[in-house]
Amino acid sequence: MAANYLWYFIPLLIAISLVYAGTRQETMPAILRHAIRTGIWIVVFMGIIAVILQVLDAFT
Amino acid sequence: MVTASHLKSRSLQATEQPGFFDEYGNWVVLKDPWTAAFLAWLIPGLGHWYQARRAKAILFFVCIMGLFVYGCYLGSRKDLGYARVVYASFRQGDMRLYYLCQIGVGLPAMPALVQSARVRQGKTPLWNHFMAPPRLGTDDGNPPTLSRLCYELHSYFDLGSLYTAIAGLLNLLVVFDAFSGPIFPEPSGGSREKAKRQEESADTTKGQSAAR
Repeated sequence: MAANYLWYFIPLLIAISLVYAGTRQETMPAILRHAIRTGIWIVVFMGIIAVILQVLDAFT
Repeated sequence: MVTASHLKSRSLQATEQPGFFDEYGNWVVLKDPWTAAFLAWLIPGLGHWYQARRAKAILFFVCIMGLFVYGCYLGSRKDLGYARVVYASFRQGDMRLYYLCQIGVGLPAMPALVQSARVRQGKTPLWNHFMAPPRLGTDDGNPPTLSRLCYELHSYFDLGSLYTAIAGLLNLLVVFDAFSGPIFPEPSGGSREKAKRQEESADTTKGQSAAR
């Protein structure tokens, strides 16, 4: 059930990636490329944190 | 692609108008940065529209207002009032620090100030408690208290608060972008050498035009 809340992460991820990329590039193709990289970076980073928390939870 | 000219984004061209080179080497003029920054704060994307950077204006408006409006929607319910996650309250027992982030979106968060002023003067909030601060005191019906809002909206109260606060914070980045242009990433690896050579070349050209 709580996993359903992860859907609310997607609009945030898209908006944050696009706006952040928009403040680092000027033209639209460059913004989109940068946004995809930023989005992947965020997902991987959050995934690593989730794995660490799961491991800590398993051993405590 | 990043070139040396990007590193000169804060430089002034011969016309003395602030601006920067975009990824394709085109000079982008930052028209009236202070006005643009103010407009960018007032309505997300308006500063870029004023500077004729239309694509970015639309992108920022859609992303930031999309987050803000969706956050307000999450914090709304017909019987509780609309956009209850955006309100200005700095009273004892209800310090709404989220609002300091939410006001980053400018005008769309301003009704909360009007409602807050009305509540302070003892008047009834307008528009079905749209962005009105919750009532203080015991929970005995309408208008709802903060604890009742949290209870009725449960996790949507936090989600709505988060969405609207992030929208406000993102708009601060946009304000800086309108004021001084994008912060181009540093070139890496081989492109760094190339960028250095291009930068030297640009310096030489600039020196020649200044001598003339």
